[in-house]
Amino acid sequence: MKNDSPTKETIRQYLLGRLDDQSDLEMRLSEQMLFDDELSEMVDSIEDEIIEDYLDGAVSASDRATIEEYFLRPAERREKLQLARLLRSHFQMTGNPVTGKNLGPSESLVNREGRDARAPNLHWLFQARTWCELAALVLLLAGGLIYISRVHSQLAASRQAQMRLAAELVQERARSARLTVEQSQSLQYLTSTKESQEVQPSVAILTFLGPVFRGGGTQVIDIGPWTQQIRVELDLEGASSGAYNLRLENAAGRTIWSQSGVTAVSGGLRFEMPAQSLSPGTYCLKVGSRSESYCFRVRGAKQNRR
Amino acid sequence: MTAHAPFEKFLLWLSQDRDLALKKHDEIMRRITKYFVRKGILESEDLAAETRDRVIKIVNGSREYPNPDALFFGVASNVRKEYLRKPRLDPLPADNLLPIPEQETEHKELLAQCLQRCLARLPDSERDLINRYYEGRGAGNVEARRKLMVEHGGESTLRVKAFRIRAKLRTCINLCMTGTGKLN
Repeated sequence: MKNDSPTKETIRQYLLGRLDDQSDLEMRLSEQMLFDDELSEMVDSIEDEIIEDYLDGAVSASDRATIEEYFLRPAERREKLQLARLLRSHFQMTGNPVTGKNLGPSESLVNREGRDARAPNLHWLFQARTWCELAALVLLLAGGLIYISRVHSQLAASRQAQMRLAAELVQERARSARLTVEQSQSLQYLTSTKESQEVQPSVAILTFLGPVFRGGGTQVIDIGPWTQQIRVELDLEGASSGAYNLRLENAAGRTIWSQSGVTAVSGGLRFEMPAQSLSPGTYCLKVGSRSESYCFRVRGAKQNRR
Repeated sequence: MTAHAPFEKFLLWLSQDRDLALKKHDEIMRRITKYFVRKGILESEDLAAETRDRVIKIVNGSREYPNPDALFFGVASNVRKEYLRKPRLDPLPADNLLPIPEQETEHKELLAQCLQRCLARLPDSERDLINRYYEGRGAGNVEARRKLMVEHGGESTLRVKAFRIRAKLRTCINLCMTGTGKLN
């Protein structure tokens, strides 16, 4: 570039078509630019700068109108504008500089099938995105597994509790059934006892009539809790009528009951004596001065009934 | 005289060596096209072709022109003046300044992928510069940009360096988008 090279501003005015009315200057600059390679490169760089300023919005309204209506008419400049936009878009989007290590120097821009290969940085971004997605998926799966595991544990615990309750329920039912049976038995017993009480007379009968007594057998009498009195009938067998003194002795010969003045009727005595004082054992009745003893054995009626 | 004769004579005028002549032809066409672009002309390639055709006619005429660059520039300047005098029916390319429509999302994605790959192939120093260059854009990053300028020898040098990197990226992306490109 020669020393009389135009200034940046002059070149800028030239490129914006504002020197056309200065024919000599315009012709001189045009010729210089045409054949001076260094100047030509300088002019090209200022062209790029005008485009960058235009995209930056760093031009006046007048310059902007000139750029749009005059400067950007040629296809070559629109191509420059497109590249500038692309570069800006790229650096604004990625924010990360591209490194040459991403791609081998001999790698074709277009693969053999004619498809354009994925750009390395974009590829890295896609990979990073994929890894992020995978990581999110793994986290999601882990969370899901933990949740399922917890639910499973809760279900297992719940199932165990349910089984325990079921076992307890079975036990309770068995116990209830047993109690029911016992209750039923108790009721039955109580009913039967009541019935017994109702059926069984409170007076037991003890007879010492001629043939039976003479047969030599020992009378047996059941005395239960319900037995209040023992009605005794004795056949005195030809004894005269009159009053007799009665005495009841136990097996040891001790008198445990007595009554005097019992009148004989039709050759026999008929009287009652208390049953409550008699425990199981053998007893004998003595009638006045008569030598015969009217013995009998008391049997516990309760024991027999249970 | 065959139909190709004027062009052959034009090549001879550029250089006695045909291969070198073809290289010169391509280089002049690139510069002339750029000239029209810098003058804000939409049909820059058409006007460059018109300029070359007129130069071929001139070269095949009676006069001799020893300096191809000067003749090309003179003709290009006249072509541009004629172009500016003609009423133009072409619409302003305002639509092209609008954001890329939704139906071109796939194209946009492909562009982004190509850019990514092309950035990855830059030398570390250049990739770092372009990263920081765009980080330093905007009113809030004046200090970062100033620091970057100091590190890279001033505003002008930084601007040219950024331009060179963008030019590399543009070429790389064009190759990538056509699906045939391999980087060195």
